Amino acid sequence: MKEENTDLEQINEDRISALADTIENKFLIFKVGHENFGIEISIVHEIINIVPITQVPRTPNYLKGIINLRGDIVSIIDLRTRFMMEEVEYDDLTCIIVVEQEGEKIGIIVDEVFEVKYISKKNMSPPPSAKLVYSNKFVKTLGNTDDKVILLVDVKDLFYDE
Amino acid sequence: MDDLDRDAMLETFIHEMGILVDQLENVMLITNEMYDGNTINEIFRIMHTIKGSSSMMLFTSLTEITHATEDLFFFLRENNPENIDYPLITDIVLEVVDFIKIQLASLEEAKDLDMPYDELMEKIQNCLLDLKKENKINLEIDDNLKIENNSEIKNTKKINVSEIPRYRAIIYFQEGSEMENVRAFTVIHNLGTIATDISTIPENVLDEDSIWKIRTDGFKIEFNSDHDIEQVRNILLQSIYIKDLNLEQIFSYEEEYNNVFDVFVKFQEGCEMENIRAFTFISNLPKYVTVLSQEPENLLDENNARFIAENGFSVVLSTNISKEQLKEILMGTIYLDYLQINEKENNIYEDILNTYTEEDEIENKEEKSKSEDTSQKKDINLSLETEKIKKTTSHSINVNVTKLDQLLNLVGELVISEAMVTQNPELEGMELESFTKESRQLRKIIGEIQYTVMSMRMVPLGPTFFKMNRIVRDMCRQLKKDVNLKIIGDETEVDKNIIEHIADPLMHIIRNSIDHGIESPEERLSKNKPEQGTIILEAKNSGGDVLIIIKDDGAGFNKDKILKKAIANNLLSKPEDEYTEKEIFQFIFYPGFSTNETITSFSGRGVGMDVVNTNLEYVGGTVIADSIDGKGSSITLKIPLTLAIIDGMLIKIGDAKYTVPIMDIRRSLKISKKDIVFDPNGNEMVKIRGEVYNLIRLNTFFGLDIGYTDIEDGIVLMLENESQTVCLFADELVGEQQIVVKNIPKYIKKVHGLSGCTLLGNGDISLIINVAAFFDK
Repeated sequence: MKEENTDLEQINEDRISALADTIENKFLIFKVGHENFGIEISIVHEIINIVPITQVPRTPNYLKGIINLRGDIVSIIDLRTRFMMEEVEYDDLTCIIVVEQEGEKIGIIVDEVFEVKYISKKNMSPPPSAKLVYSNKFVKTLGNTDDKVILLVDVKDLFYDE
Repeated sequence: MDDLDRDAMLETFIHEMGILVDQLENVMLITNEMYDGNTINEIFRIMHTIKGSSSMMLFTSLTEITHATEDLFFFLRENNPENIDYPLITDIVLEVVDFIKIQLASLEEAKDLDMPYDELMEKIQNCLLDLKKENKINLEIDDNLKIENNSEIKNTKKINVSEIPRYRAIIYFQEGSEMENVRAFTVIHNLGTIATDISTIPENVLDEDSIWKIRTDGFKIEFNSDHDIEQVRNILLQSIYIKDLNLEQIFSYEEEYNNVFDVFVKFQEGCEMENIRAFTFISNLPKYVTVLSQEPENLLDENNARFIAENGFSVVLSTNISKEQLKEILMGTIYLDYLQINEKENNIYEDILNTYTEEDEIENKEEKSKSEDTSQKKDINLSLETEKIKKTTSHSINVNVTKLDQLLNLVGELVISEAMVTQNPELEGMELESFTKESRQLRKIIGEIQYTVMSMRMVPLGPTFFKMNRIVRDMCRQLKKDVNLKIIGDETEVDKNIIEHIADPLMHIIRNSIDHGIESPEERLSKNKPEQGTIILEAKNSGGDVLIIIKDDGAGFNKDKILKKAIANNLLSKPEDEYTEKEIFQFIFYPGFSTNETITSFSGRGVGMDVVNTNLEYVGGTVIADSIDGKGSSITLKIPLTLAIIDGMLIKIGDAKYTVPIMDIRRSLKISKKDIVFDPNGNEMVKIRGEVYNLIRLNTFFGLDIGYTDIEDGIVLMLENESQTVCLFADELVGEQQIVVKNIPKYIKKVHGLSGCTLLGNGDISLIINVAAFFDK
């Protein structure tokens, strides 16, 4: 009985997402290092190619600087440095995901952007407690898709130190 | 009236009342305890307008208070009493001003006006009573009788005061009370014995048709009675279902109007709701002015707003006062653009007739043409007069500040895109004769737009300065000190955004001056100073800055006390004896710094001067304190004219471009290695023309691993503020550019040494260096 219920719920959830084209539970999947990460699509403003960044002195190292986005000044953080990964040179695949956080636009440099994926609540689970990598600190949820596990991050954690 | 209408009206009401109240406050403070006729008239006029508008908006508390105040000034104006307690009256009026301000504030927050005002009311009335007592003028409180008395004294020739007063009442019955005609009849019946010579509108009260008239226009009744106005009111109010009673005494002179005027009014363009303004205009007319006819007839019909806006509003008035007096009253109307007052033709005709009698016919004709001439001349004179009025009332409209901000932002964008187009890298190396010429023209036009927008945002410091009068006065009365505030240069203009941050600092500085600086009158006399202390509040332009100087002739800062306190608070960053006087005075701006042992209601908490500092920092200004012991102190605020667009010098460090505001740069020069010296702490200094200055290398200051290290490769900029000079080392100068200051995103916390950023012609970002960071505090 119980299982039937959850199945129904699942079906309903899927149907709602398909019909209403809602942006809830949809995630933008991108790659940093070897891992695939996902952030909520609702806060993503746009995705742009990497552009020259003006360095701002006396700021944390992951804060790469500011860019001019059609007249708006946008701060840029590099996820590789934020996750304490080895820095690599930016290439054609490097992208800046511009998200809107508390009314302010902030850009996130990632290695590569893939697609938007729907991940139902049922397919989400907390990460294993073992914290092997520093980037684990930012991952609060794992999302299971057909082929891969997506590390879902909350951008607030990315932007602000605890 | 539906809600929307009322909202719009309320907004206008609050705005206009605000202006009037400020005006009133200023008048009160400037006259400083002595009123001449003009002042009394002006106060009277302002009160009258406030009263009129408030009663239109049905704010009883405001109406009653202003009415009482108006009575007070009416007495002053009409009787010219000799023994007047001016400070007391000023106190009362200021209290009224405060009351109105509070009421307006609660209106703005859409609260009810429930502030009690009995006490204030009583105060005003008592003041009036005392005045009357002291000046031995009839103790009758009733103001209407007072008018009569005055009229008797002043206008005996014109007016035959009838012995029995005549009253006019307009009565509105409650909605749904039905049978208004019968109710009106009851009113007449109730008056019965006390009233004689009754006339009513509508005439035949019991006629069924009267019901509608009474319902819409109210029931108007005029009668003679030897009872006073309050008694009459009480009798009238005995009738049931009365919603509103408007009772007034008619003076006999009202019926013997000597002067009939044609008044033509036009309101300023864009003042909106012209019909309501015309209505206010009518309802603000004093008692002794009667409206005979008006065009358009129905002012509350919204369709007439446009008509009035386009064709003006004309009204025929009859009154016993002269044209000049009438003009003066009418000039008080707000948003008045054009006022024309003509004496009604029949009077002129009479004049002509008079001249006829003594001349024969031929001469008559000449005379006639002459008189026509003179009447024409009269017209010309009148039109000249109206010209004058036109000149004095400025053509201005109210614009929402956010719109101005938006416009400024857009102009900022425009400046940037212009640079992006004309300095586009793709154009490099091309021969573009006509393009260069046209773009220069474009640059010129954009420059003018920018200048215009900036000037639109410039506001004179005057109103902010004049507000200080009030603080000085209040404090003087409480602290029993005598201080004269002298204002110089109040016409100096600064950007609207900046002015908002100036008022508080000024207030704190002036409070401090009066509380700590200026001594008590006795102490001053014993020090051979004039009994009255003086505070000079001065504003002037100085280059790209505005200087505001607040100077007092009080005791000055106590250097030793400040230093002691600074040591106690652990504020010293170098040996005590190395501090200069100016540096010591600067301590007073530290948060929580106060040398006062006791906390008074005005100062001592050490918050005030900190506010000065933070606010000034916010607008990119600086503050300097100076003092001569025993002679007085001065505090100078240096504020930029505008925040948004500045001239900048673009400099390069490695491939990063930074901008230094040009007004901070004194000069730039190349120096050689032999001019570099080090102090014992290893600080680098540079010797220029025999003087030694601190050298700051921008790349090390910002922790950058780019840029030249050899002093001979790069260039040195000399920066200075009021008291210090430092040298800045950079790679090279790129050029001068007008820059639009943009904030660094909030996400990046405030960076020491940077004040903002700007976009360059090619779309790159350049960080703006905050020069103040290089100077010692």
